[in-house]
Amino acid sequence: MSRQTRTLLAAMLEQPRRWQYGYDLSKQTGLKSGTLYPLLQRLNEGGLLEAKWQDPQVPGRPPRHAYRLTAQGLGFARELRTDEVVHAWPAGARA
Amino acid sequence: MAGGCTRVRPEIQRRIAQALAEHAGRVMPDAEWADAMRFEVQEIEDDGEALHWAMGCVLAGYREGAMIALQAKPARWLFAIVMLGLAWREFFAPLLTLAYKLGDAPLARLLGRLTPGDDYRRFIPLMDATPLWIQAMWVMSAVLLIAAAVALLWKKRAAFGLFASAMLLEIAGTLISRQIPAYHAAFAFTSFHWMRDVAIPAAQIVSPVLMAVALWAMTERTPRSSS
Repeated sequence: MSRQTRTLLAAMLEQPRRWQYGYDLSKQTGLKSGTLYPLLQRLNEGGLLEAKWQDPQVPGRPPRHAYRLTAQGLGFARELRTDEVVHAWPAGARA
Repeated sequence: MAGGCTRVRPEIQRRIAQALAEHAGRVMPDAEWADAMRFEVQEIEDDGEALHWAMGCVLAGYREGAMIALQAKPARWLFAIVMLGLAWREFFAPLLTLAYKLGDAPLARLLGRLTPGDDYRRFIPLMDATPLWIQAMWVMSAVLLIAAAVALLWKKRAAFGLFASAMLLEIAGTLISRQIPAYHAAFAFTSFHWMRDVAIPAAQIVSPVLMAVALWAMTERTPRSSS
C-alpha cells in the first residue's frame, strides 16, 4: 500500500463518521488533486470508502461530493494504524 | 509553480481553472468522479489554488483514462507481445553462441543474418570471450520476460516485478559485456548509420522504461488478490 493511501486513511480516521470533501482532505493530507482523486476512487471501488452527493451550502453552486470510511474501511484503517504503531516500537518494548 | 501563477491576474486564473476543470471532467472516464473533481474547484476561494487544483484534476483525468485503456485486453496483448519480442532479443546472443559452440553452422548462419553486418563470424571473438554466466543472465532475463508476459495476460500484479527484474538483469549483463574488448571490435562500424547507431539504441532504452512505467501503473490499479 502506498504512503499516500496510508496518509489519506489516517486523515479520514481522525473524524471517521464525518463526511469530508476533496479539497479539505487535500489540505489535511497535503495530497494534490491529481493524486487524491484516483486514491479516493480506488478506495471507493475497494469498498473502503463511501461517497455521496451533498446539496450545496451556497445557493447557485453545484452539489458537492463527500466521503467517509465504510465500516470495512474503518476497520482496515485502524488495523493499519495499530500495525504501524507496533512496528514503530522498539523490539524490546514490544516483548 | 505557485510563484508563476501569482503573476497572472486572479480572474484569468479563475477562468483558466474553470476551463481546465471542465476539460478534466471530459477526459475522466467515470462521470461521477469527473463531476466530483469539476465541482470541487468552485469551492476553492483562492484563484491560484483553484488553478493548481484544476491542473491536478486534468492530470488525474488523463491518468485514469490511460489506465482504463491500458487495462483493456488489446493493450495487455500488445504489451505481452512486446515482452515476448524482448525475450527473443535476450535469448538471441546465448542461442547464437550455443549454435556456434555446438558447431551448428546452418543455425548460426541463419541467426547471423539477423545481426548488423549479416554474418555471425565477426561475433566469434566476442562469443569466445563472453563468460557463460553473462549468457545465463540473459537467458534468465528472457525467462523472466516470458513470465511477465504471462502474468500480464492473467492480470497478475507480479508482472511489474518480473519485468523490472528482467530489465535489471539485462542492463547488468549488457554493461558487463561492454567491458569485454571484443565487444567493441564486434560492434565497430566504419560508417555512421542513423537507424543502427541512434534510433534503435534509443528505442531499446526508452521502450522498456515506458513499459515499466505503464506496467507499474497497471498493477497499481489491479486489486490485490490476497486482500
